[in-house]
Amino acid sequence: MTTANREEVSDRDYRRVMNFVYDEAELFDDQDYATWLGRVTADIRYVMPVRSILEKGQVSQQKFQNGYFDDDLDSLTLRIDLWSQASSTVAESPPSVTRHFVTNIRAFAGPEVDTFSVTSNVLVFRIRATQSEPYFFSCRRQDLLRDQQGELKLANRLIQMDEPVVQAPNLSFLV
Amino acid sequence: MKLEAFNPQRPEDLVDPDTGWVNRRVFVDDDIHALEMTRIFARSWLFVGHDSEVSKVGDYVTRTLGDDPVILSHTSDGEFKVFLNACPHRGALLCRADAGNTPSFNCPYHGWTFRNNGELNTLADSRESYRGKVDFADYNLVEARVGSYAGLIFATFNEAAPSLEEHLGNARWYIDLFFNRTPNGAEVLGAPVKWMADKNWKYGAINFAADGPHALAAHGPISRKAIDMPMAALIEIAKNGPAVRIGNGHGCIFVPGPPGFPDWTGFDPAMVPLYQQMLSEGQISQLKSMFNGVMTVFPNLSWVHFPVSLSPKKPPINFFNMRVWQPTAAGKSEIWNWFMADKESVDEYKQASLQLGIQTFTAAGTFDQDDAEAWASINKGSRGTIGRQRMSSYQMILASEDQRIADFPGPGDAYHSTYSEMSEFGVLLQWRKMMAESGGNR
Repeated sequence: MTTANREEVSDRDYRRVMNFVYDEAELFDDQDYATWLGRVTADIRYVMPVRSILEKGQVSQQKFQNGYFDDDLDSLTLRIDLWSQASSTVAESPPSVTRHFVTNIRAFAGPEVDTFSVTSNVLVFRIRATQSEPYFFSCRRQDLLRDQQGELKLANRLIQMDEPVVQAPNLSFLV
Repeated sequence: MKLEAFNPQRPEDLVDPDTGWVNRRVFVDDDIHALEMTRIFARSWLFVGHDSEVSKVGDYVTRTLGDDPVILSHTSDGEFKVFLNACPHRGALLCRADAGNTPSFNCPYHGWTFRNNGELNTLADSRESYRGKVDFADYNLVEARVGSYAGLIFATFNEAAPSLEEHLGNARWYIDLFFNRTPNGAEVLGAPVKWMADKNWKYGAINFAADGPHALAAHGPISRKAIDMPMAALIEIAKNGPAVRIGNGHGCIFVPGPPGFPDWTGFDPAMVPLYQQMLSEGQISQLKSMFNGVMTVFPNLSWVHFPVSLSPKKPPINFFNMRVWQPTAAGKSEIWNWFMADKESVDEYKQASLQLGIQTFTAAGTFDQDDAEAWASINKGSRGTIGRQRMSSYQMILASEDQRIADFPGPGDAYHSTYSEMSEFGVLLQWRKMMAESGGNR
């Protein structure tokens, strides 16, 4: 997605957006997903599609899009319930350690009033219980944030991951 | 149990067919892995792709057979062909993208080109420049044997392998239940996602052949949330579900729903008349009451199919996940993961089924995330100097071998329970047979 020729937000709004994504990163690293869930809208869509390697100018001929995440509020709530309870997932018992580095934050006026289109790059450093060598997950996020009664909420997140083959056995964390 | 001495000339000794003990070297040893490449992967028919991935003339996808890169090409002549993805001149990859559409494959190094049917087209210089001293028939792409069944395309470079029909054998009856149950068959929903698991490829193949008890241990909490059934009922049906040792290492389990489970739960109702048109009475009897169907086609193609819902507002729908366990290294396996649907189904059903599949059976899936860590733990616990001397147990077979279901409608040997390790151990028995043979034939 190109960010050229789009309406920049005010410094005040940029700071609000920046605080939102930094808060999120901290909640993820603290595994405080329940608090994070309070910062998404009821109609949240959280999607991470497949990354394929294609020649220049060629696009996927497939009508449907495979991926790693395609969540709504119910499925996110279910994931988070599992991760939050001790030993209810093999994947996160003991929990993995993550550190989210969020950069390149751009904020623009969104398609509707009281919305912002936000892009950012994220690098996640991660250690799992069975793997002490770090794994790095890199992606670009395209977000839609909605101002609801003075509070920013995440309404849509499209995660464009950078690895065609994920070099980790699972992705039991959020970005 | 442990095995201290091991004769590398006799890998078959690592699997004891009489006791169900399997030495853990089978899953962690680098020499065993190297031997599998020649004795299993270079000899056996391997899944290369589904015909819906290359439906148009000129379509190609790049794949891996064992440890060799290949191209699956829908040629301009309308055939499916599989080539070693290497230039006959010096061996460079011809295709480096995952998929595309092209009339020809071009070498990036010296510019040699090949038609999409594998024929040499142009060289760096003219053919005349070789002054008649070389045979250009040696310069066509290296072509594999190709066979297909129910849209599943398989290939092998082994000229001595029996036909694909013979390799699949009785598995076809079971493949039909998933891929051949409507007149137009199944289709892939998008390109495969891929991730690297910390485990030997066989753990996946065995798990999907299939492992009943792990489902309610490793996946207990998510099963309580995503499956509309009390835990006790789930355990009960898993214990009653048949496990089928199909032959040639293929295996599957069917878990029928509990008493009162409505027929065709989770299926697209519009497809049911098509199933009844395509399948036999015996096949219909298994499919209509099926809660969970999981299967492995030896060596490394698997699928899983069952109804889930991750929302209290939505009824359960079947997802249909197909995957390949790529043998990357002794302790590493790339998982290639597709979702499938009946072609005739409506887009809304396909989309809902795909979404549930993504939510459950991918690297981030609520079921798969747990297998990943369980398998990584097995890998870690088994690969040490002491650990690899120990044995893995499939000893439930001792209590199950005489528990064959006499009147099961499908071919092969069906056993009374998915808690029997019978169909799982069948994968290892085929592994043992193929590893024991040193010639070119299976």
